[in-house]
Amino acid sequence: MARMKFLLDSDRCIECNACVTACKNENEVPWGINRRRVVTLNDGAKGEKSISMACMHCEDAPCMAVCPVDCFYRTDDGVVLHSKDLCIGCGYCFYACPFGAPQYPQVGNFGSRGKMDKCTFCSGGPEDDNTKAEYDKYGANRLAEGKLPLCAEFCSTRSLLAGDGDVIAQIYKDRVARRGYGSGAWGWSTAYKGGTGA
Amino acid sequence: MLTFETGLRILRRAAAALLLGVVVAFANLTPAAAQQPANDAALMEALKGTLSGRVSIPDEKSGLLQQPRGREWREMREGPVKSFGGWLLVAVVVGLCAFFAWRGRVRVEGGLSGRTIERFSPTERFTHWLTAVSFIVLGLSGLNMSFGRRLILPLIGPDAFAGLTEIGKWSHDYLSFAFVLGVFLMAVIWLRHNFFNALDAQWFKDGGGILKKGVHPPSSKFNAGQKILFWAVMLGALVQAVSGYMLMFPFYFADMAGMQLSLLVHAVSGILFVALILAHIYIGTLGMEGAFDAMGTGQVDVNWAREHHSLWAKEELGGARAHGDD
Amino acid sequence: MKAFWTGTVAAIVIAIVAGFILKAENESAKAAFTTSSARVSSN
Repeated sequence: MARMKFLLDSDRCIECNACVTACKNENEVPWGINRRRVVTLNDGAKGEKSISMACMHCEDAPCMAVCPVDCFYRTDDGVVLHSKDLCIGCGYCFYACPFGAPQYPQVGNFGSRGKMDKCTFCSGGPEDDNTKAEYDKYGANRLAEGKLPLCAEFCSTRSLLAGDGDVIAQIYKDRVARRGYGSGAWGWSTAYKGGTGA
Repeated sequence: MLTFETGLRILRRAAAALLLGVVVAFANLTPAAAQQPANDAALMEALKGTLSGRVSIPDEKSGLLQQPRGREWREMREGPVKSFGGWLLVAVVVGLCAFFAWRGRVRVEGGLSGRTIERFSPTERFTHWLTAVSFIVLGLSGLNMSFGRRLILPLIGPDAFAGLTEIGKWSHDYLSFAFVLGVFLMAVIWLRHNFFNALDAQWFKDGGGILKKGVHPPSSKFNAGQKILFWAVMLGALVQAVSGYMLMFPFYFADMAGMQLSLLVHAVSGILFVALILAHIYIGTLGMEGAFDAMGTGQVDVNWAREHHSLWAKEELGGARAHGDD
Repeated sequence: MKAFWTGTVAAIVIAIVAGFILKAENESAKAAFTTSSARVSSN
């Protein structure tokens, strides 16, 4: 069974934000909520790096661990999803997530911040695959159609890879071997215990 | 928490250094960089801990790329806070049961006289119940946020539990204002009765009179134990209010570290508060004959007053405020 | 026990009022995290 992961080659990312735009459009992400974002480190200075970050679908997902209503689950592909029906919008998952993946429709936490929204690896939610109900709540379910997340499909430099962890780690490894440099798969040592993959 | 962070940082740097050593060794053997490619330790090292950058989104929080402290927060909350806190509450309940089994109900030794005097005015009682009712809901909904997933969810299923917890969270957030107002009013009406004096030292020496029959240290309106409770409530409510409102206004006053600390403080302080109030509820209901009337009807038996609050009773009775059979 | 009931009712009333005030004040992500020129009116 495939174990889905994202791999961001920070040496290739040019901060074009195509991944962000693709995600917002494909999933009809509401205004103000950003499932995927591009962060530029050392902007304008030597060693500038841009990193596209959404959700890492961690192995021992902290969000899943701290949720008071246990609304998270993991699919057979290793994708971390949650149920917006159960979510009470308490905001704890955001405090636990190392990568800032959870997003909320309300800024103040009065009773609720609204239903948490995050990257689903274009894999929908608990509703039946590719139904309107699923789309309205969670966005597209490309995985059920045998497709990969649109952010990675759109990446103009093939910096953002998405797919089976072993496969994309190998692609990256070959890339690094061919070109002679590679700073590493951002976030992998935090998200996955194995760390190195392939 | 600081040493833990430093420890992790040292560990990460050591791992990165080791990796670089391996890279250098391998680089001498093969022309292509043969470092373990999918490992980001070198990248983390190169960035030297600068884990936030520029984003084009107006939400500043998006600029934080990775916050390692979240892992420690998660481990702290899921580990020591829940286990220590949970077992503390169990210990308090067990302790109260054991105490009741050993001591039984503290009776009015002179027997009830049938005459009563007013202990608490309607205003005082209103203030107490405003605070107490709010606290019950706050406490239960708060405990549910920490322990409900483990204890209640398996019993009623995810949908019912999520619904219950959601209602709990709404109640918790909005009743907090009633609770804070209640505690403020308590301070206004009762502050002057709760300063400590020499009488209180004697009261403590006599164990409050609770351990043995026939021991009744003198006390004014509030005995030393009640004074301790008063100040504990003032402090606890302050801590809960500050941490609680930080949580209700996320990132208005605090950054990520502040929010995580607020949640830990709120949880730990909340559990301690509940433990304290459990004991208070015990003594005010089951633990002492005649005690509940003070807050229930406001009228207490004269003999009860003489035994447990002798100085206060003397003052009140001297003022001819005693009532006949009610 | 009248004080108990008035206390309870007062708590509930305060909670409801607080709820209304805070809900009115609560900013949506749409307002907080988008700039005005980016907000297209079709949605």
